[in-house]
Parts: sequence; C-alpha cells; structure tokens
Amino acid sequence: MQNENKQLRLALVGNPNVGKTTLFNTLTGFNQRVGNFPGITIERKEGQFSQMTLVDLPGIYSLDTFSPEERVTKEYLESSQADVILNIVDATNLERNLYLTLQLQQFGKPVIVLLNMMDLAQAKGLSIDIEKLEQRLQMTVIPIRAKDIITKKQLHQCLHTNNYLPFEQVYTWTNTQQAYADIEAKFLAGIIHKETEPVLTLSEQIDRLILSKWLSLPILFGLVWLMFKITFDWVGGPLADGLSGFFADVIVPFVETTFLTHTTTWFQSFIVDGIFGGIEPVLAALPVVLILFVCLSLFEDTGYMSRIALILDRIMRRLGLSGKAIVPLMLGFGCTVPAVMATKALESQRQQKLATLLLPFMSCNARLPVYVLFAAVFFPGNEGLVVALLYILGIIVAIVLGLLFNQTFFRSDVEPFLLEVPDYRVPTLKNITKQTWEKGKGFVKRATTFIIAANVIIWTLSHIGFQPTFGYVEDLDMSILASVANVFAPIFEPLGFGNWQSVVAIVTGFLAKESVTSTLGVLFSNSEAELSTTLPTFFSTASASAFLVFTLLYTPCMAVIATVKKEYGIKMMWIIVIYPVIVAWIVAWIVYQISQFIM
Amino acid sequence: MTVAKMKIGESAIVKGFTQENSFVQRLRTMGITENVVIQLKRKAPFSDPLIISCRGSELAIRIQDAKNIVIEV
Repeated sequence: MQNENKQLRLALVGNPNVGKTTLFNTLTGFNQRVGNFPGITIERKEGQFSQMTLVDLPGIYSLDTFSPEERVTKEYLESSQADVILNIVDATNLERNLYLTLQLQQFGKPVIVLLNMMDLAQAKGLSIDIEKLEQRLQMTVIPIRAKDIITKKQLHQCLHTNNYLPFEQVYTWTNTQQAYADIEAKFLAGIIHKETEPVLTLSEQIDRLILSKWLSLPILFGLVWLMFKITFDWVGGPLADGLSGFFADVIVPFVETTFLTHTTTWFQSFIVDGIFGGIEPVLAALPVVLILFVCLSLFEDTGYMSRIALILDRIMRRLGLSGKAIVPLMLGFGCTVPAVMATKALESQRQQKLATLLLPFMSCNARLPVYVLFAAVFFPGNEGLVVALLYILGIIVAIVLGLLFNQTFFRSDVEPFLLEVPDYRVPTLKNITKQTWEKGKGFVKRATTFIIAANVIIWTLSHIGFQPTFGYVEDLDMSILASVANVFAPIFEPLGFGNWQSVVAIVTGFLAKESVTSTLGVLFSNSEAELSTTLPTFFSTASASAFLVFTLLYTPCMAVIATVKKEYGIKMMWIIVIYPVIVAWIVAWIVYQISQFIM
Repeated sequence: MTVAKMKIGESAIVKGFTQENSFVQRLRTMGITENVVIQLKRKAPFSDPLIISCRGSELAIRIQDAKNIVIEV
C-alpha cells in the first residue's frame, strides 16, 4: 500500500506589509522583492519548502475584496487548492489582522496563525498572551520572526508532525461593526497587555520632521539630490570611470596581445569592436546602475516611500493620480517592467492606465549607460548635472502629459484615497545586498548573453557589403546595414543625428535599452580610435543633447511592451509603442534647436 | 462634526458615515466602524491628506473623504 503522501500546499495569507514575502524568501530561499510599503506583491508566487509547496499571495485586508491583486488572493483561496492556510499577522495590530483571520475560516481549512513582529510589539510596550489567544481562536498560534531562519525549523516541525489544530468552525456576522465588536470583546479582551504607555515612538518623531510643513519638501529634494550625488559624482561615477579605464587599458590590450597577434584583421575587429566595443560601455555603467538601485531600495525599505506618497499626493492629484502612483513611478527609475506591474496596485483602472502612460518617461537604468557615455565625452566636468537634467526633463514631460491627459481622455472626479502608513524600519543589509546582487547578476547576464548576441549580428551586418563583390568590407559605410539604415536616417536629420549608426542604435534599443550603447560601441569604435574620440566626429554637442533626449523619452524595450500587453491588452500596447516615439522626436527637436542657439 | 474638522492630537468616536459607498466599505474593513475611537495623528504637509490612527494602525485619507466620517469628540 502506498502512503498517501500528497504534497502539502500551503497558502501564505495576511494583511499587506506584514512580512509575507519576507517569510516566503526565508522558507524557500527565493529572492522575491520585498519592501516597506503595502502592496509590493501583486501576483501569486510558488516555491518549495521541505517537500511542501508554498504559495505567496498578495496582501489582503479582508475577503470583501476591492483591488485586483486582492482578488488574486481571494480567487486562489476559493479554488481550495491549499491544504493549510498560513495566516501571518502583525502583532502590533492584532485587532485589524484578526478580522481577516476569522474570515479565513470560511474555506474550511486549518489556519495557522503566525504572529510576526513580536519585537515591535514589545517595543511598543505590548505583551500578548499567546496560549489564551490560541484557545479562543481555536487555531494554532506561533510567534515567528519572518526573516529569521529559526522560523523555518519551527514551521517544518509543526507541519510535518501535523502538530496543529484542525479546522473548527465558520464565523459569520451581520456586518463589519459586529465583527470588530466581537474581536474586541470575545477574542482579544484580556489578551493584550499594555505594559508601558508609549510616549512618542521613534517613527512619530521622525514623521514630525519629515512631514512638517516647511521641511518636508526640502528634505525630499535634499535626499533625491544626495541620491544623485552618490550615484553619479561621489561613488558610482568614479567607479564607472575606473572600470571603463580598466577595460580600455588592461583587458582589451591583454586580449589583443595574447590571443589576437597572429589572426586576421577581420577577426581582430570582430573581437575588439564587435564583442568588447559593444559590452564595454554597458558594463562600465554597472556601478552606477547598482548604486542607484541601492538608493531606491533604501527609500522603499525604510518606509520613506510611503511618506513621499503623502507629501506629493496633492501634486499627483492634479495629474489625476494619487500619491500612491509615486511607487510605480519611482520604480520606473530602476526598471519599467516591475513598475508597470506595480501600477496594478492603484485604485482604479483609470489611474492604472494613466500611470502606465507616464512610465516611459521615468528614465530606466538600462538607458543610463548612454548618458554616462555621452556625458563623459561631451560634457566633461558636468556629468552629474547633465544626467540629473535628463531625469528632470523626463519628469517634466510626464507632468505636462499627465496634466494634458487628465484634462482630456482621462477626465474624472477625484477618487478616494486610502493608504496605510507603515512604521519606519531599519533596512537590513542582507536584504539590500541580496537584492542588489540579483540585480547586478541580471544586468551582467543580459550584457554577456543577449547584448553580445545582438552585437555579433550588428557587427556582421556592418561588415558585409556588396561592393566590390559580396563579402567582408573594411569601410562600414559600404555595408548592408549602412545602406538599409540610411533609408531611415532622414527622419532624424532635423534632430541633428541623421547618421545611419544612430538609426541602428535606436532600432536595437527597442529590443533592450542597453543595446543603444553597445551598438554605438560596435559601430563607432575601430581598431585605431576609441569611442570617445570617434563620437565627436559624428555628433556636435547640440546633436548629442538631442540624441540623449530622444533616448530618454522614446518607446521602452520589448520586455516592457510585452508586460503592458499582458496587463492592459493590445490597444494599450500599441499606444505605448507609438506615442513615446512621437513625444521623443518633438522634445528632441526642441532641445536641438535650443542647444544650437546657445552653443 | 466630521474627521475633516479634527485638530491634531484630538481623539473622537466614530458615529457613522454620511453615505455608503465602496470607500466607506473599505474603511470599515480596515477597522473604522461605528463606536471606534480614532485619533488625528498628523497632517501631511499642506494639510492634506490626514493621518488618522485607529485600532493600532495609521491610515492616510484625504480631507475630501474625511468629510464622510461623522464623529463625536
């Protein structure tokens, strides 16, 4: 007889921002994105935990659902695929958390209550009688620390020995008020003891400063300025320069002298220009990308992002959005793909679509290598300023279009806004290093696989021609690629960069934004001269500015387009493909005219 | 009186809502029900949104929506 050892399925359910994903990562060893903001998880994710399947679900306040990601959770629970429900609750906020806990009984499955953030509860002077709580709820209650590995052992033991209370009963109430009254009187009375009366928590003191009338905006701008300084001038920039020098002075000469001395010219060109020329400027930007990512994670993990949402709510309202839209927009400075998914957490479909339309102008970090490259060549000494201006221009374009859309296609009454404000938390070094490591790995992986592959194709097409006979050509202007791209070059003539190489770079940028930089690397660097000396022969300062602006604003990469299609359908996808190109062309033209006038 | 008129630091008891809509329903599930004590903790810069504290958590709502919540000090 075979043991009926069906894999146990565990559903992880709880209010937003109580640490579900943190626990998920601890138990499965995965690296899902977490942050101190309600609603980071918007899709369900599965992982393995000691021969059981663990399902991480978006946070949910109750089963009377409202937002789309809450529906994901409800539908999963209704499908009754889960054998056991793990309900994480925030110990500092039992009253509200238990409202969901009691509702979870309606699925007829055992519910294990995981009491997280006990340390915070203690800091607030609360002590909780766990045994009594267990008796009253008739559910197993386990105090845990979501990020602590000990939790894994605890849960492993509990689940494998079936050492938890079975499903007992369904609770029903006529209305919410009754439910809360019951929670207070029947379940929690005499269970929570306030040991000390908290005077003013640290979070409150920090908020006094950060949300104060006169200091809130200066602090916000100061922090953003600091972020830029650290990323471009103090740490990231110098590191990028060092890395770039290391490539040009050490790696490439080493490869040339060791492997390429006895090879043919075309093979040398293939390796040096095709491979190294392309990925060098992309990889050199890695320190900048990572440091910007660390800064953004700090904003999120500390809980400051929620405050930004509050501070800017009034301004965002003018654009027809709520303060919450700050989250996807800020994420857009990292990568537009998660940012598009984060728009799903906004209140209405109108807001979700509107935020998605503005996202392409939040400069994603794959565009950064172009800025770093051009700023170093055309604006030496002012690199940080130029890059900052580009980001600001992106924001201004988004604001102008937001105002425009809000007055036209997206007109509506102001919608209600409700945001839970989390306490500040000290971000853990482990979380930040882990996530930054993942990010860096992804970036390097893309640069060394996809981008190299694209470079090889670009190099090949740019070195094959029909003149005099079909075959290898020394002069790239005679290549197939040049003749095809030259057809489209006139479109960019009014912007000052009507050369075929720029056209190719922009087209490959549709695939991945790093490709803009790597393509320029392949096409503009040659055996005799480096990119920094060839670029000024093709671009003036004015046309370089226009090229930067065009790169900043035009259509996001294919991955984003696919995400938009998945989340919002084909019509929205075409809008996201076409309208940013038009906006980019117009703004780049204006910038070109102005720069020509000034310079 | 409504929550929109509360002063910072003031506590009050929720008496009801001026209308029933999905927003009010949402407030209820988050614990803002009749007879609960709420406190106006803070205001965002420029006085809007308001941050109220109720049943141990802090919620931000706009003045316009706060007018829906009827209270008694």
